[in-house]
Amino acid sequence: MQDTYYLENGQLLKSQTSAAQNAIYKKYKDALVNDGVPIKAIFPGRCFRNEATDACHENTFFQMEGVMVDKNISISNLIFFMKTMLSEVFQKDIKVRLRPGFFPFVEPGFELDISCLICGGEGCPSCKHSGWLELCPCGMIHPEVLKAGGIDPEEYTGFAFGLGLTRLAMMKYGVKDIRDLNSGSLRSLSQFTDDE
Amino acid sequence: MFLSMNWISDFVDLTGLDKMELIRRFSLSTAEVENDIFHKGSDISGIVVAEIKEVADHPESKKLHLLKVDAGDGQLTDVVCGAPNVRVGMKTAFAKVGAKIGEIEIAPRPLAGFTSYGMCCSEKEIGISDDHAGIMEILDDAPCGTDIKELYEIDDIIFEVDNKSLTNRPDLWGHYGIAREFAALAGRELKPLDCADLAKYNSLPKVDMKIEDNLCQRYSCIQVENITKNVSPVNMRIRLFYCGMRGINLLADLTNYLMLEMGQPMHAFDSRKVEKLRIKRFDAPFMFTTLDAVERSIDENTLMICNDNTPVAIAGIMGGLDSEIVEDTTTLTLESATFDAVSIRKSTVRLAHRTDASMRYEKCLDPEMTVPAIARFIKILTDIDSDVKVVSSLTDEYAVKYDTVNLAFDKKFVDRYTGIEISNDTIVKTLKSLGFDAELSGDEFSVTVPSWRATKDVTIKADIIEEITRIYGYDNFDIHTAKAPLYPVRADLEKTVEDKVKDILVKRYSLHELHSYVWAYYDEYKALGINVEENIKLVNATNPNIETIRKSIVPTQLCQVKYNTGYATDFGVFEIGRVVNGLNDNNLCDEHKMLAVTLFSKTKTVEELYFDLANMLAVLADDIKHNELTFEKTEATHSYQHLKNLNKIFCGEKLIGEIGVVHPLVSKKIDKKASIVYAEIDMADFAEIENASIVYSEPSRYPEMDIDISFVSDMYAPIGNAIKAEECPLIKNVSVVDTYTDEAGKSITVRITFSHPERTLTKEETMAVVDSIVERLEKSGISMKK
Ligand SMILES: [Zn+2]
Repeated sequence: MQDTYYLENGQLLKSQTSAAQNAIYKKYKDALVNDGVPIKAIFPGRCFRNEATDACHENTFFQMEGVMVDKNISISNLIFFMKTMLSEVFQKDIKVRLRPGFFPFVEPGFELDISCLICGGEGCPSCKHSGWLELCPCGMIHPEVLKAGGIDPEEYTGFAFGLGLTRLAMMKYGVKDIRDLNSGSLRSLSQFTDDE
Repeated sequence: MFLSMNWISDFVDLTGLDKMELIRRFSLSTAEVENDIFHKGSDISGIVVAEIKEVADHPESKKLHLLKVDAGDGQLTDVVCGAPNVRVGMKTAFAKVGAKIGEIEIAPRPLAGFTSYGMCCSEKEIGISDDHAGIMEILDDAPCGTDIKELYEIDDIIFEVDNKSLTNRPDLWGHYGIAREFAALAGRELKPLDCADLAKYNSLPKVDMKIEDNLCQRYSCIQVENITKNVSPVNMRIRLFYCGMRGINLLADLTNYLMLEMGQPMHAFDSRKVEKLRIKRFDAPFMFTTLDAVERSIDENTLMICNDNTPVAIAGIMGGLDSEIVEDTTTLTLESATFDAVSIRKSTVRLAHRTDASMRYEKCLDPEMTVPAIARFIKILTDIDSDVKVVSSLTDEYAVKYDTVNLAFDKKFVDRYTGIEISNDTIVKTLKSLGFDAELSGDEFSVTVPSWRATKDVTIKADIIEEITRIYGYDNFDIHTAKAPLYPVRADLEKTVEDKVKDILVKRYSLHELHSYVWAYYDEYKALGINVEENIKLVNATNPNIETIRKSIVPTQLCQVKYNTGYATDFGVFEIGRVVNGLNDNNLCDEHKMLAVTLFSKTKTVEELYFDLANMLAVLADDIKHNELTFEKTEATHSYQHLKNLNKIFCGEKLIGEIGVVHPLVSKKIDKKASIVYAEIDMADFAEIENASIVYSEPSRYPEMDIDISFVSDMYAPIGNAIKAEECPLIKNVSVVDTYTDEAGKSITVRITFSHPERTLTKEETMAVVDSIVERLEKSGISMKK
């Protein structure tokens, strides 16, 4: 991939957090199968992208991925979960909507939009007058991904989502320049206190 | 890709439905529609067909003409017109007084001494093409006064779909496939395509054509001659223009039209240039000129359409200049084919040339579409030009068939995936509306995927779930939480320790948590006199300033401190982040997660600040691990370290990091007057340390005794070690209470707290211990302050 940073020894700086999925399935599949313990995991991680930086682009940022796997995890559960989680993050009632989207690790895959945080859905310049903001990809975990993790997709289903954690923080606090977050500037950063 | 609601409505009757609402649902169920939707024609009114009855030259202007036009209202209207193509008997589009074009309302207007009662319009002014060379010429039979919106499909709703959201849907690259989605969403019938019956040409000779390479999946062609018309019908040109294409001539327009309608790219050759059609690759690279007159280098991996051994087109990408239709072309060979999608994509990349055709072929087009596309082409062509003659039979080689996809699943599978109740009827109806063959027997569904979805898009059962649910509508889902038993999980040790460290540093010591980058910054380090140490490098860093991965967080943290010197007189920062210490035995990065802390002060001496930091770390060890830290002098090995004031940190027996004063030269570059100290601890090593269990001892009922002693020394470590070496059970606590500088040099005051569990201490026994400590220290050259 063009936008990945490679090191001299052939390793790379990770460009997304998805690699962790397989490790999590392998670690917890026995508990899932033998003891009926559902897998519910979130894994934030620092990601890197080899691109020029500006107010909207950073080469170093945080992403977070989440999965839930059990016998009857459904699209209905996915929508409920995303709506609840995002409402908690933003501390207000967030409307979500799904649109079909193609992502290799999920099927069906969705683009998730949330009601605009600025105008609440009425339409404003920041949502290009649509009332919605495109937030993150999500979907039902692809059967092959479960299989690769040692989980039988005929018996288990699951959902997964990937969130731009840095972007989420920017939206929540109204940070306009993503580079502020890695700037080390105490004038910027000392505003983020420990209350929330 | 731009889409026309009129075009879609050719294939599905949407009468009585809210088109904007349908487009919204399409966006939520099929592919994302861009925000801007265009209501074409809504900004013009009152434009009618009119005939120019008289043309007179303007007495003073060479460009202007004085016209009398018949706009169908029983009189002749005076018009002053600047278009060069006016002539008597010509019919044109005429904006009457009161007509609207955009913001302009047409009114009688004086023009160079004459009054014009209306305006003859160019196609560009009406918004149906970019032709502004003259006024529009209307060739169609229509009485004067006919509103041109009744004559032509000028009113239309045009919306745009992001091509990226169609990557996985080869069937959506033409209006017919889009119409199928609208039909499914609206619950209405999709009409079959109106096609010519090609069977009636079966007795004609075949085209000499042969697929010699399996990168060509299917090749269909037919020969046509005697095309007498050159200009496309206005409605066809309007649709092409609205969808972002320019009208060229009938043949070129028609291939474009078919591509936009069915998603099938087509190509017309001059039959003289393709007497022996062969589809193959060549053994050696060569140069080839495409019809845009660009010479391109073709390699041995690129599939070519050839006339025997002469290449005439790059398969699926672009035709050649030499085989193009020209003035004296009488017979043309029409190609409709499918090629291997990966091969087309790779060729496009190698040639750095992407076309509307290759963009579609990359998506794995339906090979079942090639013949209907020809039948549709012939139908439209013969409708437009009844003189056209088909002179060959349909010639079709189907070399690589697509794999039929059959899927079986039961109702429970659907219920489990959706979490809601969707009836069997709805499932079957939805799938059928999308062209799937769906049967229900008992609780078992068996589904055959239609060819246009089977080439790569729908291959597994989960794909069927998407089809059912997207048409059902995610907005219509009843949503509920997952129900699952709760099991306790042991917290991850490293994460727990990390959280506690952050809590203590932020809440108790008001330090600021910072994040920084994992690479060294050459320029910034250099400005502080810090060396960038040899380490593993990025091979493709676009910025050479950030090539080397950092070995320690400290240098970057010092850069951040430098940036913040104006923030406050006293502050501290920390970061928990990763560093790489070269490569390990497996040639992998030797990664460590480190805690780095730096304190900056303009009010404290470097000694005071050092003890602040040492105490802070001692509190971390005590609070988190119930363990003590010890410090041991060490040699500086990095350019930012003070040569002498540097200690290793041990927790119990384990080396966990270092603490020190920043090198005076570096420190001065950050701030001439500030004291700066730092520490760096390996978080994994710290996390692994066993918690010392708490040994409870009954507090003494007898009073404690504090004794303060001062030593001339700038280091606490030897003092602490000497007190420890005494191994005196009466010593309950030792703390630094003061540091100061006077004529004797730097001094440290420690307070030793004594107590005895069973009796009151005597001055003599405590002084004996103090004397012994003082003696110990004097041996190592540290004297007590009198
Ligand atoms: Zn808004």
